[in-house]
Amino acid sequence: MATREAGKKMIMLKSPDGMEFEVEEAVAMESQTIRKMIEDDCADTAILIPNINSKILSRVIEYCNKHVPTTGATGAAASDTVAPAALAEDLKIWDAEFIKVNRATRFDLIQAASYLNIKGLLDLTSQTTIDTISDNSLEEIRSFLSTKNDYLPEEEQTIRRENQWAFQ
Amino acid sequence: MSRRAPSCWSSIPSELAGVVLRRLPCHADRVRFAAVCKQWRASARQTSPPLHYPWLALPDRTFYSLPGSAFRPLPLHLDRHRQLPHAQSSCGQWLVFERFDGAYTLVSPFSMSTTILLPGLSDTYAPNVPLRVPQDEPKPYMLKLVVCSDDLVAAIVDDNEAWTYSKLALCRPGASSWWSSTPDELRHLQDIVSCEGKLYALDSWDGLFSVSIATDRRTGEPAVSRVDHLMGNPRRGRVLGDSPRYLLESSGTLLLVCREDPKSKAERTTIGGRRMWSALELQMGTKFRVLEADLARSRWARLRSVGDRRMLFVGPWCSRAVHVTAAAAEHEQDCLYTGDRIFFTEDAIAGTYNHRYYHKQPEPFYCSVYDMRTRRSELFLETPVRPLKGFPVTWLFPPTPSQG
Repeated sequence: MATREAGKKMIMLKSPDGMEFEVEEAVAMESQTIRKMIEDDCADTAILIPNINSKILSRVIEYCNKHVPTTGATGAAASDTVAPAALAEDLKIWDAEFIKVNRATRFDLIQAASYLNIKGLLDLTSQTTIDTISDNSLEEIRSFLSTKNDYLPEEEQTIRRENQWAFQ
Repeated sequence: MSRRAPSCWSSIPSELAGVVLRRLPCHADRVRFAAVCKQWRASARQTSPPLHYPWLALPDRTFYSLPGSAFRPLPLHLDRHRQLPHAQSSCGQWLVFERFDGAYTLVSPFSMSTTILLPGLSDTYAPNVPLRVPQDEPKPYMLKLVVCSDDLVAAIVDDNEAWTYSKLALCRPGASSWWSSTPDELRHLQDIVSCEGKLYALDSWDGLFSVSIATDRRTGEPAVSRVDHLMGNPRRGRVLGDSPRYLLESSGTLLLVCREDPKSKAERTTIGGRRMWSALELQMGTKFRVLEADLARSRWARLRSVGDRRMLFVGPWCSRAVHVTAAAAEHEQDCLYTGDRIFFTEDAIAGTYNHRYYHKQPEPFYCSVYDMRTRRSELFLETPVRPLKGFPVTWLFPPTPSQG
């Protein structure tokens, strides 16, 4: 999109706990949900983001700021001299740092990414969970995600017996 | 408006379970997901119907759950069923084992608690042909088996009556004998497939038949009540050549997949120690033609594409079409799994595994995928296997979960 450097359109995002965040439209539109609101003209002054508290919303905005396509973005990453591969590598490292959060925050981030429909953030936040499920035993999955095993011993026996191959 | 969702994985909202599940295409991972707790199982059931990517069962009795997983041993407790240690065929989720007494046990590696018992082929009742094979003659041999429904199984059987004669046999699970077709109706069968409650058969002359099956009112046994010749010139030369062909059902239509191996080239390179390398070359040079049955006009219509959301898995025992849901395709990282492709293994090499005993040396095994758009094959899976006698390569398809 041909946006002039000087006249960037800003969008106000409001969290339910009363905080307001002013962000560039391009950054906010990393969220498909917000993009749709803007395109449908439902976002004249401020957009209230339900269910997402200010702490999580600020992190989501931080993510979008970093991941918005580099044309017109602020900071060193916008430089034309940086090769795309190096840029991708830099983003990867940044993502890895970004996701070093506790379990509860990660859960909130997945929910936020799901509601706001930000594919990259959803991929990033759910990947840890996916890796946990793929690489660990059932006991380890339960302990990592601190889920409660509410199966009766005999129910668990049946599940394990019928799908023995999946638990080897 | 400011409802605060609990930060707890136990009570995962179903839309989030969907987010995670869509990124877990591997069947084993989905099963483990559902086993974590009751809420997760409920989410797994209601969010997304699982994809039906198959397993690839290898000649060393391990399997590979597509897409991308580790090789695991096939869960088979053969001693429990007194089988000979080799499989005779496979159909969908079932591996078909012949038992020491000649009877068959169908075992589903997906769920060890389910099996189907079938009588031996020597106990075949057929009108107009001898009821039993004399003791000194070679036993009838099962070439292909199709589980049509809970109470009907169809098979192509080579009964050694005449050396090229392969006929249709029918059976009810748990019954004491098979019923077989008379020679005049169906002979030299190449493949059979069950489609929307009907059975279709392809013979060596590329004739396609629909086979109606009725139940004998007195005995309850299945029997062919009617055979309709749908297309192909009866007994007049093969229009489709000698290449391996696979008959498939997909969304109510019949597909014929013709495999074209680069023969001459393969023969040239099958010399000395380069045999396995040539198997790979063979796969790379393999092309496919896909034909759709146009029953109204009695002809096979060529398909240039099988669609962006459809993949075919072909093999001599069991071939199926798999539909990729839009959601799955969107999240699938590897474009190999997003349609218009044919997955295949090297049947000729797979066939030779069948006749060998334990191998001390592992041999390379290849599985390839043919892209309908580029008309090229590429290597998809390569692993050393130590073949076991009588355990060829086959696709196994997870059962469709029953509703409720």
